[in-house]
Amino acid sequence: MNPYIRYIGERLILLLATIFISMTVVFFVPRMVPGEPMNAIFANMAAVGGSMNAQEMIVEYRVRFGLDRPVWVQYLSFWRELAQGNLGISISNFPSEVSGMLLSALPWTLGLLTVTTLISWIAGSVIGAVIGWRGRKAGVARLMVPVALVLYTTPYYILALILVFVFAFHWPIFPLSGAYSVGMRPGLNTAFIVDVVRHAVLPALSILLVSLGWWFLSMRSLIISLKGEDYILNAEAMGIKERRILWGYAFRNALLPQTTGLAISLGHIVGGALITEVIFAYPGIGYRIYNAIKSLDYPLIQGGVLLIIISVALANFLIDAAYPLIDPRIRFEGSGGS
Amino acid sequence: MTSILEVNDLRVYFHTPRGMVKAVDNVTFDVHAGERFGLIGESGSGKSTIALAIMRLIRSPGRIESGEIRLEGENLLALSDEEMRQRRLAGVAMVTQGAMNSLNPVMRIRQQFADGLNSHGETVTVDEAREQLVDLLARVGLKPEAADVYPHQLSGGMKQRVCIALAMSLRPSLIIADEPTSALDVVVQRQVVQTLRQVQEELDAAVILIGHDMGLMAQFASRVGVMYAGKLVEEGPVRAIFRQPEHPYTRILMESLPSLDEKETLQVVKGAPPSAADRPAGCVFHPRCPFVMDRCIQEEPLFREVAPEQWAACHLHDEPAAAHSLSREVAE
Ligand SMILES: Nc1ncnc2c1ncn2[C@@H]1O[C@H](COP(=O)(O)OP(=O)(O)O)[C@@H](O)[C@H]1O
Ligand SMILES: [Mg+2]
Repeated sequence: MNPYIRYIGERLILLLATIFISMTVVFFVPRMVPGEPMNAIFANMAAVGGSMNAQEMIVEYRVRFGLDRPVWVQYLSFWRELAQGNLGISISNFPSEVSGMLLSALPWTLGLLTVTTLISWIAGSVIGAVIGWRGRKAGVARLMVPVALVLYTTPYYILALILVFVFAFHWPIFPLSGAYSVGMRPGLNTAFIVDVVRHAVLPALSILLVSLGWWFLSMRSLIISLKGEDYILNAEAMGIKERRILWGYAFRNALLPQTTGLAISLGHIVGGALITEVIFAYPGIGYRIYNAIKSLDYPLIQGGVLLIIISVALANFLIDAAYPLIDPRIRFEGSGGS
Repeated sequence: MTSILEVNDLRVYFHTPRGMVKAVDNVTFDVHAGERFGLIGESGSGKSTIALAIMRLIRSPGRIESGEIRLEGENLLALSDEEMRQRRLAGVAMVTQGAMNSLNPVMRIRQQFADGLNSHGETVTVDEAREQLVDLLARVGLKPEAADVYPHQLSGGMKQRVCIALAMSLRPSLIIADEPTSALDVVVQRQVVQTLRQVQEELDAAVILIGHDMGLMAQFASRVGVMYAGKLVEEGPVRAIFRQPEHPYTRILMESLPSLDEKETLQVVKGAPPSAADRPAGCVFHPRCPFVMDRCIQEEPLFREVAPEQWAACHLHDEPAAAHSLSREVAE
């Protein structure tokens, strides 16, 4: 069999297995937590002045969501619906479709994550390369190393809380929470965009600083170890300019493991971003899932987690697909050399 | 004959946490213009350190402690970093040890060649550069296609040839090849040495070949220097040294060559291999020398001319009775 097709096939099976296992966990665990998801609906109804008997209403809604049936029947029906692309209806936000709720939250998470990951990966890698290459000659810039260590070992949420306290509470430069000001009409105008950016600064910063520290440290140690490679010495012996050796030889080769690192830690990054959303009440997927868990909104939990798993797997797949662009050794595999 | 390279009293030490390693100690030799010079010695004897010192590429914790390295009369140790960078490839080129990994794995050969030219102020178009490279590749026996591939698409011997071709790019007056054959099989070894010889003749450059194989060295060099534990112990014309080695270590090296007749050979005294880290007092070779005398343990022998053009550092030459024990005829 063509090794490439085989490789893709293996990855696909792995992906399906991951989805199956995590969805099973996500299906059963919330149902084992004591609590009544219908209370949320009841509270909503009471707020708008509903007059129905509470007990009757809960029973009726349990039937409506199929929660009266045995758990394993619910489980099978969940997969059957999923196979038809149906994520169900939210309990806490009845009668909104789960897919619609997730779709409206997705751009916020995606925007936050893409921008912060790109900036931190690029900036961390570039600064790490320069400081790693210069070694002792880097002077005071070497202070970046302990700073990055501290940043990297700080949990996202601690950094987020510090940022909130300093820049939103003590000095209210940035808003405390949300993605845009209450009462603002979303639209493609300058005022709204400025408002969105102002709201995104603190959540973005908390993700950015932590991962920047990581990419910086990783690239720095990669460059330091690559400095001893024969091809670097040979390039120096050829009198090639230092700048060219750093970027064309050392950095270019460090990009491979650095990209692998990105693929491996993607899940970690996404997880951290979800927590950040909760702290800043940022209306992305993480915040949605958090609220869903609070109110035991089973369909929304399931849909949210599924979305996260699929996006992480997809991002991983894209990074894998990008490898051959960086490494000619992969590109030419199987083509039989020159 | 004019000297293209003069190395005077060169000392290179490594300042390691476990103490100072005198990797190269008081080494002096010349290489003449257009000459093929061989530097031979066991692994760890300081050959690569000499080569890297000439290129001024000794890395921390190593340091050139003292001495003089003159290339075409110019003291390289007095140049600024940028001036030295300009000399590399243009004045003195090096084929570094471990050519299996000497080429950037993510770059085509032609790109690496172009980097060399660009870094030395050559302004050539991509096509011109490729044309030049193809010409160089032809000289080392490679097809033009080699210009366009990545290193992993070449065999070990081909990579080594590419490195030699790259070293020729700016027609340097001196090329240093550090064990260019070590990872190759015997047939390819001979081919690479042959290539090096051809290149030397065409370019009329001086070549220093570093190695530990006496046979290969004899095939290539006109003059050789023998290193032992950071010291140059003997130096002279290859013929003279083969006929009459003037240092016991050289003689042992000679006898390690496979020969047709099974004659009795001189044995090194068993013991630790030479280590630049804890060098013995007196003569560096005395712990393993079959002719060791009291004097060798206390006093370091001078490196001096003991026969016409043949230099050695050994006390035996002061002992008329003992000196002839070096002679191969007597040993037979
Ligand atoms: N980076 C280093 N740190 C410490 N010692 C070194 C280093 N590089 C070389 N040496 C020492 O210098 C001596 C000579 O090494 P080298 O010149 O590589 O020998 P050769 O090329 O003859 O095999 C060795 O004994 C080695 O221990
Ligand atoms: Mg060596």
